[in-house]
Amino acid sequence: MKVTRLSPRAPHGLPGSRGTDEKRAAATPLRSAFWSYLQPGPRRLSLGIVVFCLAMIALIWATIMERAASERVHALEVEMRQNTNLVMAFEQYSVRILRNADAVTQFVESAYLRRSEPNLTAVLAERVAANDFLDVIAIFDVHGRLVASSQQRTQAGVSIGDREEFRVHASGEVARLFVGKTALTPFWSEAVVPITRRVVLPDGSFGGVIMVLIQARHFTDFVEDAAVQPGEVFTLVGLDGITRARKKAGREMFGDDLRGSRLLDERAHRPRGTFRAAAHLDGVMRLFTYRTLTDYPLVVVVGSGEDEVLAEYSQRRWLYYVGATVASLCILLFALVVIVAVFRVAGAAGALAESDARFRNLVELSSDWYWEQDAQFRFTFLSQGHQRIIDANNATSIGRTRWELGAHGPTDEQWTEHRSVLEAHQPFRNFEYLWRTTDSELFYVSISGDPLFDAAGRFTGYRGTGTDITQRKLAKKEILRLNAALEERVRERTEQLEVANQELHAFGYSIAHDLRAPLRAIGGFSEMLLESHLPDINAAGKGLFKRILTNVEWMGQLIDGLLALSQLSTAPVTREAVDLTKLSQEIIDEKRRLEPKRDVEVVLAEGLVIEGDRTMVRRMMQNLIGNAWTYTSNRPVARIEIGAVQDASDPPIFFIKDNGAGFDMGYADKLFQPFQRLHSPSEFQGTGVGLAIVSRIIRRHSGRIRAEAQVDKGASFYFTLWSETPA
Amino acid sequence: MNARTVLLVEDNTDDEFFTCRALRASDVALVIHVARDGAEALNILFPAQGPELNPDLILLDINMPKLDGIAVLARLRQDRRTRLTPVVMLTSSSRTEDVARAFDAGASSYLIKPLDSGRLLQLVGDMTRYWLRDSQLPPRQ
Repeated sequence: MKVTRLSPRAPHGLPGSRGTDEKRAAATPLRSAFWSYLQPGPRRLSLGIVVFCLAMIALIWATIMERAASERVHALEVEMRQNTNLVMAFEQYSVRILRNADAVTQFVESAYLRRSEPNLTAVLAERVAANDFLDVIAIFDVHGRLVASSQQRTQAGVSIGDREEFRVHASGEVARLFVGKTALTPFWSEAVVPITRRVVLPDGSFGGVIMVLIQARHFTDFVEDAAVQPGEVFTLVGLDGITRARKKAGREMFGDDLRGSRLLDERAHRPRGTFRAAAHLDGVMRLFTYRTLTDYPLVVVVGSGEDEVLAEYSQRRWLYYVGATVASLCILLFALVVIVAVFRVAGAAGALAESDARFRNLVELSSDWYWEQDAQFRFTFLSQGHQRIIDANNATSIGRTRWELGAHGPTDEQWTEHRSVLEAHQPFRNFEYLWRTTDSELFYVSISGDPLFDAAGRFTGYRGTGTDITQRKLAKKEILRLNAALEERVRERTEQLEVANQELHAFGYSIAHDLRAPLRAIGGFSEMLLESHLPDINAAGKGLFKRILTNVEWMGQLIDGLLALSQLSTAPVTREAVDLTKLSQEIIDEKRRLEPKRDVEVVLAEGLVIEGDRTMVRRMMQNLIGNAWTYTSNRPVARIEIGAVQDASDPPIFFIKDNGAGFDMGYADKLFQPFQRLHSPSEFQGTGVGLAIVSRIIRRHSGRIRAEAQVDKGASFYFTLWSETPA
Repeated sequence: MNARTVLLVEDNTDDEFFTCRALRASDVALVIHVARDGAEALNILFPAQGPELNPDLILLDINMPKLDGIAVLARLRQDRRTRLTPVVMLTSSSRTEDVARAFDAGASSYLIKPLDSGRLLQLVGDMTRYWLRDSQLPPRQ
């Protein structure tokens, strides 16, 4: 299998060569810009496409133009050949007419000169009848007066002496047949060509003129009207430039002056020929073919309208142009589409290249690595992350399987399971194992992979990623170890604390308990002495015994307080609604029962309800009421008030006020501390534990207590339970 | 009327003195046996050899060295012969846990020291008379 190796893309040019590039660029910025424009890329390709398409279009148009031109030439050539044929026919026809006329005039001349013919008119008429193209034959004397005519009606006085066709003969200018200018006959208004011959007397002198009138249309009738194309013109023109007969679009004309026309110029150079020009008479572009008659001063001309000649060609040319235009547009569109596609492909290729580079960078720079295996799970590729961390140059890894490379852990079962996943060609995620390299270095590795299949669906190997999780594993182990150690220490400390707590508790309990026993003995024996041995003891002794007993009782109370205080720390706190009014009333009743001599006015609010541990609340109220009871003992009218603060506070704030001795607020911080007293025992009896107990109970109920007092003005205690925690 | 036998288990000699002094004022004829601690008490009640004591009432201190009162009581309540013998616990502890512990172990009554002699005598009278009348306690819950 081929080993693919991804390597960082070589930079464009080495630093040195770049320097020379820059120099060159500075020297010829324009050229550099040009070359950079022509760098491989979509621009150059587009330019090429545009050039190619423009060349294609040019080629198409050149071909079309060439084709059109050659077709035009061809059309003109064909027409000219036809015209040449036509003009030759025209010439022959005209010559035939003229020769016939010549022959007729010669015959008439001889007949006239012989003067043998009695009836000259009959002879002429016979000749006219014999030659259908002849209209009239007439003989004029030397003065131009009519001698004879083929037409009976012709007036005897007719004279042509002033006319050109007579004068040329009379003057001797023309020796032979003269073709005069076409004119209209007087009666029928027919265009006739007068042809005259000089009558030469035997002595060689001028003896008059024989004139033949030939209808002009005879000359131009040589071709059937149906065969004549609309634009075709047949003209018989004298060398003098005056048309003798002209036929255009079926109409007969004559007498037009062509002097100065192209025709006469051409003819002056060549007796016969072809040219193309705007017609002298109507300005229409025509192809002219002409021939000069050999024996007569006449020129036959066939002209055909170029428009007609080129009509078919024009139509085809138009089609060619349309076709070429459509083809050009198609090519331009094609070019546009291709250029757009090129730019898109180039853009996509650029994006692809960028993405490719990005992923390559990612693969090469990542501390994770990318791997590929063949169908036998042998490594074929491992990216740089792997080379950096585990196997430089992949020297030992390529071509070997994972398990050949020293994979250990996690367990044989998990490896077997992993191998079965691989054999089943399944993807796997985050398979973690221990990789012991040949250098005996240990790596924790996490790998994920996907199977690869070729186009035919055959398994070709695996591809995936790997991560070095050694640090993470070690850190996790360390954390677990630290956690375990920490837990162990916490457990030890807790145990120690519990033991200490229990010991302290037991100590307090046993102190209190053991203190009680000697106290009981002192009290018991003192009482026995006082009761049983009265006679032996005097009054002073009795007083001392009473003081002993008082102290025993006092110490008992102290011990009780200590015990209560120590119990408060550990006893659990329950929470229930306690009728504070009823509870307080019971305590006050008890007090009154114990000290019936005291006159205490108690103001107790109705319906006070407090939430808390019933036993503890009772003890708290016992202490608070007892406190107020005690410190009002020197008041003539003692007053104790118990109630709740009238506001919407929740939980409610309760108070207990008295008008007793009060205290200095400066010592308020000592108020709730155990065994701290603000009054001497001689003033008021008290253990100094009561308010400490109250404070502790309130603390255990997450409550607060506050005292307000003035010396000799009484004291007020405000307290609330559960104020520290949301209810 | 025969004298009733009372076993007082008390380690503190002062307390023993006061208790015996109070018991002497009783109108019931009492023979008082004293044990110094729990082990001695069990020794008197369940001797290895010789006659065993069958007291009509046992006054048992809780706080004692060696075997304490609760353990002795538990032992008594296991034995068929002493299962129903009235036992009054004497202790200086007024803690509710201690009281509950004592009753849970099968105490018949509970007195807090220093003893009120009046209450003690009333209790002794009640216990012995009750025992005489019915020979057994009502079944405990």
